[in-house]
Amino acid sequence: MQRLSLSLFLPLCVFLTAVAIVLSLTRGAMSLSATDSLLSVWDVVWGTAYSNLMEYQQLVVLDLRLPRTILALLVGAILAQCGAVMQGLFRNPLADPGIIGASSGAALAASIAIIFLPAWLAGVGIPIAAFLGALLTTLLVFKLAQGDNGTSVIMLLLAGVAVAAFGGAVMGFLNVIASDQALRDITLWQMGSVASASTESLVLCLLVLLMNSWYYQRHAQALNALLLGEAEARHLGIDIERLKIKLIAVTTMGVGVTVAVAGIIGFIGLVIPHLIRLLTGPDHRSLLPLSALLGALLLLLADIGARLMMAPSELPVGLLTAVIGAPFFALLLIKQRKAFL
Amino acid sequence: MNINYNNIYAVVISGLLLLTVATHSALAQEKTTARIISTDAGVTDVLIALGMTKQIVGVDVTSQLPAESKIPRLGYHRTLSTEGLLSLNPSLIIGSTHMGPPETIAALKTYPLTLMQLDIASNEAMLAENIKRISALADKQQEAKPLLQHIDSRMLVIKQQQLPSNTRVAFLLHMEGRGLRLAGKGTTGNDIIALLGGENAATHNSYRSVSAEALLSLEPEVIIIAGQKGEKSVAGLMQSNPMLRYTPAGKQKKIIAVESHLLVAGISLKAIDAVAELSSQLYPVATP
Repeated sequence: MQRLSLSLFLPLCVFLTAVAIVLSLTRGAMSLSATDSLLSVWDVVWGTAYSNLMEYQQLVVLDLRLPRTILALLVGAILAQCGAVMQGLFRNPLADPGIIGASSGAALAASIAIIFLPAWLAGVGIPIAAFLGALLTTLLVFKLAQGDNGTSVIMLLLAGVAVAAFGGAVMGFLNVIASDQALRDITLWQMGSVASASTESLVLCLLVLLMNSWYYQRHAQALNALLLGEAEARHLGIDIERLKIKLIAVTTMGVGVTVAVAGIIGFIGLVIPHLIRLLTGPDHRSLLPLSALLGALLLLLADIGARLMMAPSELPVGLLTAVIGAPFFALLLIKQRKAFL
Repeated sequence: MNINYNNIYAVVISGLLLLTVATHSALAQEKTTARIISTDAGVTDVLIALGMTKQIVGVDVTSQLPAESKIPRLGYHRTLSTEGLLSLNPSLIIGSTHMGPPETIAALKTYPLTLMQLDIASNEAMLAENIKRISALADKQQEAKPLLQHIDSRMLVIKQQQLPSNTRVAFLLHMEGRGLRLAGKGTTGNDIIALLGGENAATHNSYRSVSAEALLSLEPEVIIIAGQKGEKSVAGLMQSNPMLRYTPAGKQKKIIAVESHLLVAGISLKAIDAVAELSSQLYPVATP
């Protein structure tokens, strides 16, 4: 595969993302003039009054489309970055934030919260529960995989599988005892959506993205060294165990926060880093920021699709990412099989 | 992305405040040209019965419309998209208290339209109340009278054909190839049993999967099956669960079917008709 040069790829990504943002703000179930839609955003930022939209139409752009556009960008970026770090850490292109049990843990805790929390607590309680669930399961998986001579990657993966299976079983049980209403809430919540973006969730995601990006970038070289193998990285003077714990903690926070604000959105963390590696090479210094950019772009495109395909009704965006991502995952497995045999 | 979110939201929130002030004038529209969205099958039935089909601009996925109708579908009533609803430019949105998600409901309340959420009726009195509220809002009190009379007349039939007291009734949802689900407390099935004057053989809440064995042990004297094929459901049920012949209901041939789509909106106009029909089927005809 011919690798693209960064000087070509980066501007292309930025340009496409800009196009997607414009699309996202101007297209939706309601037909509004594209220019006026964009002008209404301009008006809000600069305090001008160029837009000819009615007041309630401006609200559709500013209150419905703008927040979800930003949330899709942020969540996509966080997920893709977390996926890139996981894949680097496990030196396995099949690794995904879901693998360390974060997604299933978050889903499980949130479901329990949906069933058992009183209604007035649910708004705050469900995201917090999702985050704690992600954290607890990750810690548990990590403990399980901790051996005398460090963390075994295979054990980590298997423990992740075990936790996911257990989570699935508990979910199944909750499905039996839950009321119809709670059951529907759980199903919907697991499908993932960026439709309900609040100011809090946007600020939270932005902070997490900035912090994670900064932290990951500092350890990009160490991740590069890891590509050579753990022993080689140790010889280079990298404290592998501490690096793993730190990066897993930061990644869990990223995944927990995205699950809490947008539900489970799969495959972004798997597909994007892989694509970037194919296109521009495995150097983490460029892989991490480019993954964030392309992840943001892909999730935004998926959300535009989710809004337009069935208008005036809407699809869960997690459904679209899975439709794109699952066949891709199968392809990866087929490629990997040669290595296993 | 160097947009200052706080700025945007400050402006949006102040815009919302201005808008709520502005809505009052907008709300003084003529009610006769109302553009109505219904997100509940029962509400849609009532609107059609009131002769307001032409004013419906959108419905949820469960609503039953005349076959030739081209009214757009808004999807599932718990996952409504705010922009999807607004794109139909409604002046009135009527749904049940189950409408969702909460974010959509909260957003709708900030737009110049009327949002009415009705309780899902679990008996004829609540149904009549809902019809009165809808007709008052749409200024159709005259058209509502025959509907209310129809409910009264159906209830008269039902009251005359009550099951003997303490009759144990099992209400089953029969999904092809997906086993049986037994209606517990707080379900439309439970409400139908109550209207018939029977007693629900199940004691749990909502719907739960049951085996034929568990059904046998409940000893139901009447079994009502909600299926998608009316009469065929009974045959299908007996074929896949031959043991049911040994329940009291099986021995007395008191296993009857009802269309499952009648259950999506609680005790609706269609459900009342179905219950009246059931009561006639179950009422013991005196043998000379």
